Amino acid sequence: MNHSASRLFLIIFASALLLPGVVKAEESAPDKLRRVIREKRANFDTWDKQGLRYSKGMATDCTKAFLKVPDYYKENNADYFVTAEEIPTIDFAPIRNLHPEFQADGIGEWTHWGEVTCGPNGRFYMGVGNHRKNATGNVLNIIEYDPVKKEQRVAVDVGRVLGWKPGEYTDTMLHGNMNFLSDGTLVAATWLGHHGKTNMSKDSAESNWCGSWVFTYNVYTGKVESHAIPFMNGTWAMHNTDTSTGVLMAVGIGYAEGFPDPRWNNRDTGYHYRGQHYFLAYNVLERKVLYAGMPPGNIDLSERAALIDPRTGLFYSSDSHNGSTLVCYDQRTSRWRDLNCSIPLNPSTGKNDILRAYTYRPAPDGAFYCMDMIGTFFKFWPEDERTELIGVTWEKDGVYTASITMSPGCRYIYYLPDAHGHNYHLEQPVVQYDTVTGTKKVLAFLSPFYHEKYGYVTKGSYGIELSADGSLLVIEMNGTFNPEAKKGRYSHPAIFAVHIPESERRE
Amino acid sequence: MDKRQLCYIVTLWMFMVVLSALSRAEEKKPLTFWGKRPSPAVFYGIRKDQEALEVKYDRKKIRHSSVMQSDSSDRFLKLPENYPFDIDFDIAKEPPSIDFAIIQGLEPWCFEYGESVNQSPISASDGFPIWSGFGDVTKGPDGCFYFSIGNHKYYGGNAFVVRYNPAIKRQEIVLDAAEVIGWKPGDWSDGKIHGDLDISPEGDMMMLTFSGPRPLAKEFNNVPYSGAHLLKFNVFSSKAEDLGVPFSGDTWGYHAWDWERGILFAVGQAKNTTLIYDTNIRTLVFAGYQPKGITWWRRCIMIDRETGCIYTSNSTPANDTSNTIVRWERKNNTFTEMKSRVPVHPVHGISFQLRAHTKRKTREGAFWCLGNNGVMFKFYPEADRVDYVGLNWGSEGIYTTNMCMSPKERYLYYLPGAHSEAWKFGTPIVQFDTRTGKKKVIAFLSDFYL
Repeated sequence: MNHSASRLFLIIFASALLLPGVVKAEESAPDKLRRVIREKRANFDTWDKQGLRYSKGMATDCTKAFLKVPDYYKENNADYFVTAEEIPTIDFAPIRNLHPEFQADGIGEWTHWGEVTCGPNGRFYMGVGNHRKNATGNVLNIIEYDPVKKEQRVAVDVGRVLGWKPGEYTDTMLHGNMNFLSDGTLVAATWLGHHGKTNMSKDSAESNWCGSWVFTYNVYTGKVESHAIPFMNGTWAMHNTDTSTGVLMAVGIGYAEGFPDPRWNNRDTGYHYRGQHYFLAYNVLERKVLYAGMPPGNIDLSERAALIDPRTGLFYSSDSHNGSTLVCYDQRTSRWRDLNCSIPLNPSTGKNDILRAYTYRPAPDGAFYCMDMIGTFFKFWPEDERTELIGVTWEKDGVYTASITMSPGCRYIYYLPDAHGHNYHLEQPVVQYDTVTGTKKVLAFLSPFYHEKYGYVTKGSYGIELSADGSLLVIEMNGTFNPEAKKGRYSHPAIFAVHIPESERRE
Repeated sequence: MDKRQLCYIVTLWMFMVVLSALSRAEEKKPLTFWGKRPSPAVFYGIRKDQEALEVKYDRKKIRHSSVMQSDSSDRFLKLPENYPFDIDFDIAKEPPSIDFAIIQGLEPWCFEYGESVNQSPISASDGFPIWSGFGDVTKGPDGCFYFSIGNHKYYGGNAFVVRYNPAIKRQEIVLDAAEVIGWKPGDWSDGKIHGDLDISPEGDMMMLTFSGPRPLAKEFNNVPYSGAHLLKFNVFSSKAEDLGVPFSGDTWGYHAWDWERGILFAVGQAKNTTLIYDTNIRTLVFAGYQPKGITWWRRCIMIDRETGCIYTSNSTPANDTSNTIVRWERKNNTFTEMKSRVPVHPVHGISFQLRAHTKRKTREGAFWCLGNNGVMFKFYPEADRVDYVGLNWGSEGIYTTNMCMSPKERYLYYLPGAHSEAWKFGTPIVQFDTRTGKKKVIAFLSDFYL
């Protein structure tokens, strides 16, 4: 080889060694996904200040910070509440075993949008899902929290027990009230998700998805039973079960092709619109559908309410096409009727909205405590067909509240205003309403402390429940970890178990 | 005021009274296809001396005979005297041979006249017992014909399924609803089976009982009746099964069964609910009201056995989309309002509900249909199109509840005047030639059988 050729060979050889460092090989799609997930995990490992996501047990705190009134209220001379005198002890942990923890494609987030219920075994049950609407890869679990051991676990992997397969379009949430029959059987219905940009496209509606599922889970035996899809095309945004008869009653939507144009049949709900919601009455004990269709006339049921009077088994909701008149369904006769009462008008805005939150049993005077979607707070006597305004949930106009619970002696109502968690300035109060004095008392402001100590940003709650003795309020909170107190997408729901001091709950 | 002025005023007043009466009379004039409804006893000709009348006029003593009387007479082809309409039809040249007998085994043979008045505890308007059949006739895979006869009562209601075997000319009651369901004397029970007795090739028949028009929706809580029963019967084994009350709070004025797909579809009379039941897995697919703006017309359930889609007309009152064709399909369990609608009646100027139709589509993909008021048309479901054909009988069309199509699709057969007024024009059996558009009377029944 002559000198020139040797030089040329050396140049080529050196280039071959150096070039990969100059021109990067294009990242493959799987590599990109892995990188995105690594970066997200790295961020959250930093933001999760105490490393709670992968630890065990609960972080327990009892601090004056809970009762420090945030500046927002002082600056606005908020005089509609008092604060507790005795500091509560609060156990906290993010919900664990979220697999996959992060969504590389940016679709979905771990959240819960339904109730928390206390089982006959003293443990608390709540749902959690990664909420991948209009996409495959949904994971949906029932979480069990044991307040004695302060441990949480995945009680039910819903997709696995119902036989959902990878690559299928499946439901994204457990959105209703998963209550218990007397033998410890929890009754649940799944929910696909809402209309709009995040709903399933017509194409996916024509694929494998053909309706939402009903299933039961016995907390004593661990047995899960699928009741399949009792109403094809129906999906259940809200449900509740008459624990005496075993009849699940659910309100939802379905894909209404071609009427009058392809849409989800609840489109344009609320006042001045034309849509309607489906209603399902299904007897889980007899595995028998009692009702699966629309209510009569133009009744449009609240998509966020399924009030069942345990004394009678009658179902109540509001009718948004008729001024939020309250309506009733009788599971024995399939009969619907309008009641002679409606949701009271909000004293500040002069409007009312659909029924949203309510106690699950009546007070001694026969009334249910209720709230509508815009924070109107009222009492409802179904047997008298009467409503009575109490006021608003929070602030001057009322704040959206999704769940309320009543103390064993019926004196206190507990709730967390701002279910959506968008009103960061409210600093997530835990509110106790005294039905005797009409006083609202804050047991704790959660947001400032939990962000400062743990990096956790609270983003609202849809499910709370009291223990049988009224001493423990368990909250499932949507939230995330983020360096900034008022930022971040939903990513890590959490459990807050508030031990209410006895002095603050004397009946 | 003098006498002349007083006379003018009185005359003017009387003139106004007469004018007013005339205009009210004009407003009250009923549409001829439906007629003015008298009391049920009068409308159905129920009389106190019913039994005596029957003895008197049963000249051939056939009331209690199951023997088929066979006749072939030129009288069948004679235009009735005082025939009321224009003669826009042909009459067959050759008379048919017709076998005839009274349905047997219906007990009691005659009802007490008092029962005709006081059946319903709520209203005395229409609780009248009469032996009658208001549903379709179906040919089974065994070559026999099946139809239902009921006593039309509420308390002590009962309905039967009757089999007629044309090969041996024999009739028999094959299903007694009260026996299958266990109704006892004094129970509020169903006096009819009102829908189509569709039969699968394996011989299974699914049907729902009917207690219409009572109880009304508002009465349901006050009467000892929770809803109609679902029955299954096999024509080969004669085994009957009560599948209970699938949906409380309504009673089923009409039903049809897609046996291939296991879909039983029914429309409620009390509340206009829709019941869709999967007979394979014995569960409700849909049971409640339809979306706002759609009311399934309770006398039409047209099954397209090629696609599984089911059609009716939209009877939502005071709705400018009324009488559009509505489709239900199992995929997505949806109701869809189509562009097609029942054609406007050329004389009355309005559209009525869809009533009768052929059981299957023609080769070109159309159902032959009749509106409630006798409008005849073709409905192409895939094309979502209707073609108006004409009126089924007379100058304004006549209410007709059923029609059949010949095997090679050339002829349609029907009897106009379903609601008991056919005798006024001779009770013709009509053959409609789809090729020529002409009607031909195969036989006039009234005069001969009277």
